[in-house]
Amino acid sequence: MMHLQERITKILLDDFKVPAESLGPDTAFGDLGFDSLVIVELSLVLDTEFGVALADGDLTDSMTVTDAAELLLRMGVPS
Amino acid sequence: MSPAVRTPAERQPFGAAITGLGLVTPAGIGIEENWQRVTSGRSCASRDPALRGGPVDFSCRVPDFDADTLIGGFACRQLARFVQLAIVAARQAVADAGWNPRSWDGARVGVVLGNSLGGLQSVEAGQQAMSSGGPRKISPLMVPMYLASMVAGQVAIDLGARGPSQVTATACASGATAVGTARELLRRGECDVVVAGGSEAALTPLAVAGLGRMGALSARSDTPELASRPFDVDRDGFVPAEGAGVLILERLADVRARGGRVRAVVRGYGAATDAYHPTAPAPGGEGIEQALRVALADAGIAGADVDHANAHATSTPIGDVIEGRMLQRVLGSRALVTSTKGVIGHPLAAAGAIEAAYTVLAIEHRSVPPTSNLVRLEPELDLDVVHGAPRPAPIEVAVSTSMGFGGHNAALVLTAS
Repeated sequence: MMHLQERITKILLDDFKVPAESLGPDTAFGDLGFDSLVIVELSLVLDTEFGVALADGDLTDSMTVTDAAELLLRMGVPS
Repeated sequence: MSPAVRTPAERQPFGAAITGLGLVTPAGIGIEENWQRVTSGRSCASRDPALRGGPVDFSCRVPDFDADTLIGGFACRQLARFVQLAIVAARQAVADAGWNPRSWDGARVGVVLGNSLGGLQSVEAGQQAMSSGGPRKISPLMVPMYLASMVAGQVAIDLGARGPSQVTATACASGATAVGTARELLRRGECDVVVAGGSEAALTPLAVAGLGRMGALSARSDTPELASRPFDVDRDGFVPAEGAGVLILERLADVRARGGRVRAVVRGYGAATDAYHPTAPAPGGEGIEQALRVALADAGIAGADVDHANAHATSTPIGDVIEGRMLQRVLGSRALVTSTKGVIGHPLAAAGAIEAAYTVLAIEHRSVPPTSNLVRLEPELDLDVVHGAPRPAPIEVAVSTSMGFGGHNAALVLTAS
């Protein structure tokens, strides 16, 4: 679980250029400035990175890195 | 004077002050960097790894453009390159004009920028994603990153400019059309400040191959630095480029009232259409001649009084001679002519704005930059085309001409004060 959180965090920092100081495990994506388009973009990146197929609506702007990691775990991604 | 160039009697002369410049071009990022490179006469063209294997594998790119450093922030990755270039140029121009976007009345600030090809890269990536993974793999940012209109929208967001905004699309005349349109917004009192210019960044294998298939591009792959040679007898096509140029326009009286600096003045603007062929210029140059004559009439200035012309001349066999003959007819042979495309190549929709900025710098520096690679002047022309080295000269009146696919023509008349 920690490992998944770290990988998602790294994606947010490296690919989405989220400032490190504004990002914590319980920061909602919406509070990072992610709008609905960026949420879909993020789900496409997670699809590729973790070999899953997130549906539209699986990720929402109220979710956090911890929530996303739990979602991936439920979809069978090894922790 | 023909009927086409008659101006309405009630139309008063109007000068729009140029108070700021921003340049992000193959010649560099910043005004001084651009002026040094353009007056050096050294071409920016070089072999382009991204175009390897294509029919034309060289171009003029903006060197060392690092958007993360220059713009930064989370939203930067959602900006197409043509938007990124425009934002950096617009910030430069606003600062150069002495404005702070945090303190101006944004409702009185307009944005008019030219563009042609939009964020073509996002469409190409979207097509690839769809081919390999189906429609669900297409980025939701594909359309907003593609739209040409987004360059005005995103610059407005960046600067908090809430007045009218639009993108002009007259192909390679777009940048000049934007400056002329911006001046009208000031004349009509719709804005107090207009951010005007053009941007283009579509040096993709697809776009360059398309231009190459039209026969518009130089084929000098072995010597890219010699390829862009406007008005030279051995020219064989243009060198594709990218870049952005932005000018801040304000009413003269407003600038004086706020104690701002007037770098130069847009006195006249003219536009006309060939209505002849989608891509070939009219052989007699009637459209560009009408545009220039309208611009001069708008300014109340005679062609013989023009000291300097920054020509559209892209280095194509047909276009340069048509424009050159036209310049002779309208200006005579006294004006010092240059084409700065010899140095920076042809940045398409950004060309007219970048060249208007170079014209301002020529006026200020009292120096006409040389036309790169001009060795033997096209024999059909009797023009004083500056080449070899910059030519010192007092410049009170200058013109900048632009011609675009679709038969779009635009001309600007600039004066020192």
